[in-house]
Amino acid sequence: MKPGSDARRAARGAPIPDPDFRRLFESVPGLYLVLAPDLRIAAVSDEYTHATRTRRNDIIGRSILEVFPDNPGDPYATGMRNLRASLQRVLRNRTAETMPVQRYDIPLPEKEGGGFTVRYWKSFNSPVLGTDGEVDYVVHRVEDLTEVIPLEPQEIEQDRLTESVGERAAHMEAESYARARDAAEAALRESEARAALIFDTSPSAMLVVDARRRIVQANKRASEIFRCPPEKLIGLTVEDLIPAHFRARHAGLASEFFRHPETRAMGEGRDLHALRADGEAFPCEVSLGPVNIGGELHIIVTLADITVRKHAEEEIRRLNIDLERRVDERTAELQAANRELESFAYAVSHDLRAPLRAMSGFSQALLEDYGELLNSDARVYLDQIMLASRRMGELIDGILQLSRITRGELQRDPVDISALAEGILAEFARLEPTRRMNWHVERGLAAHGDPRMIEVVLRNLIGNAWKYTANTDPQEIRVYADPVSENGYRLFHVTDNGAGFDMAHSGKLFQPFQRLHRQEEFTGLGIGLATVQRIIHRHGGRIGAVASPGQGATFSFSLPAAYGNEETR
Amino acid sequence: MTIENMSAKTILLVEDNAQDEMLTLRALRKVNLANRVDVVRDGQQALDYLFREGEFATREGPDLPTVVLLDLNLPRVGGLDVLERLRADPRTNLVPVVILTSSDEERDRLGSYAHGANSFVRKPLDFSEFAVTVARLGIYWLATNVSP
Repeated sequence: MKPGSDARRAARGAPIPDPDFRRLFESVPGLYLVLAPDLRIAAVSDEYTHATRTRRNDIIGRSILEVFPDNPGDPYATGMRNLRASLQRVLRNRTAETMPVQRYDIPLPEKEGGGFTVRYWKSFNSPVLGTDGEVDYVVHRVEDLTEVIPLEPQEIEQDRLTESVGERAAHMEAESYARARDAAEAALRESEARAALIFDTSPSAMLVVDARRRIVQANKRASEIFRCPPEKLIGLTVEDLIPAHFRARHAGLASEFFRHPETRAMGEGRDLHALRADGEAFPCEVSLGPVNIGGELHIIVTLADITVRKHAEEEIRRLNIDLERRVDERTAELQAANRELESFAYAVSHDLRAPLRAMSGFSQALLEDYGELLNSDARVYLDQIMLASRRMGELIDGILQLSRITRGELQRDPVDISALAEGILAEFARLEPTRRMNWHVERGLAAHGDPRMIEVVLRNLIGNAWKYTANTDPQEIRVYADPVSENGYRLFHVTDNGAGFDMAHSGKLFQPFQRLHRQEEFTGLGIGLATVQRIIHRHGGRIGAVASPGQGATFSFSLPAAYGNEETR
Repeated sequence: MTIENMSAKTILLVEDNAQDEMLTLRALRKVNLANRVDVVRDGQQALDYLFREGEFATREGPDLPTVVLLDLNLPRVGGLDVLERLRADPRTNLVPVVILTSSDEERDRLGSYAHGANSFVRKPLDFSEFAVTVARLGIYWLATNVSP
């Protein structure tokens, strides 16, 4: 239609031909669809087909749901679902509805590479009612907002989109802004309440201090600790809360802190003290943290009263000193006792021997030089003097050995128990060739300890076994050990089939000078087992015995197990 | 061995115990050495004797004994102190000293050798053994050993 002829027609008042509404509709600027109540597409505007990369003939008569499926590559895609819901509401309510901005990705035709292109849409759905009031059509209008939405599809959330839509969604924007603001304000109020609650119920005193070192805020605990109501604390400077002799130094340190503010503990390595309102100084722990309040640097001072802890520490220190002193005293007493024992043993070894030697010596001299002048009774008496002094000499030797075992350093070396036991048994056999002893020593027995002391142990135990089997036939001695060590200790056994003893008397077994046999049965001093027990105890081991009269005895003792084969010796 | 070639040889016995002294002398008498023995009864006397000082300033006989039999547990000056003084003095530092003691303490034994004893002999408790030991000592040091 030419403008000229239009003008003419208008001027002439010629009737305007019936408008071609279909063509008009299709040419209308804007993106429109007309849907039947069953959501099939009845009409579509050119701009719509252009924007959705569709052709009219392809989509007319088909359901909108089928033509525009949700992007299957986007698991969060809800655009079509939301549209259908909106359309159904419109059909049901027969009222128009504006949908919030939706993301709906447009399927690209094959020639453009297929797939989907990301799009944001705003939609309006409006019912067209027939004369019967039923919905005949729904007009669906959309606006492509993709250009006004920053294209970060993965990160964009619906709520945030609302803000960016700007004027085009002004109404919604304002609404959601108001909601957000209310929520934020509520959150802020709650957060403030929580902060205040924390501030006031903190078990530490908390002070907010400004750059002039004035207290601008103080919590409940602060007023308790400083024994000062909060309103009186506020306005004081921190120096008012510090004992006088430290104030000057603190002022310097504080301004230094304001120059290099960082969260830290205060006064590391030295004891801090603060001053209560009533003038009492108390030990405390302080940490400092910078905070910006209203654009100005403030310091949050957190202070704990550690008076109780300090007192406890002081008490512990005092108790420790006391304990150390007592340990020292006891140690000194023990050392004195040890020295006394040592000098006693020395005196015994020196001074008791000389008179003994005199007794036996002069008896012998008498016998040698004047023997022919004495009758046989007199010679027997002299013999008895010599026997008694020899026995006393042996007792002295026993006591000395016992005391020597108690003193002196303990060596820690590997000890071949099997070799030692074999050696001792062979020696006894050599000294008493008339004895027919069957002995068996388990091979490979080893322990870790003082070789000389362990030899004393074996010599005593095997010596006893040897002695107490003198009247047995056949005679047997066995030396063996438990196969497995326990807690680093191995249990060794020396068994004989000799005289044994009554377990009722076993309590006396390891007591010095206690014997379970009369001298005329078996001679002995009663020192050997006491010595053995002391040696085993010094090695941290245990010793015990099982026996019955006439059935032999087994002595069992534990010693540190050898370190095994990894030791190269 | 004869007594003649030992004419200038003497033993100094330092012994505070009179009974041990008697038994020692008896044992030496049995091997005819008793008349070679001078006896002093404490450490100070021993030093005076050896350095010809004090009561021994004018004693006769050779300057030094052939051997000193020294007990450890002595009144006044102890045996080890005597030994130390002897070894520190050029006049006596070579004189043979045999420690003859009842002690079998390790510290006495090691201390004696450390201070320069030539021998350490424990007095046997048994008299016969004691007699034999003393007799052997006398013979060894007077007849067998060649003096410095």
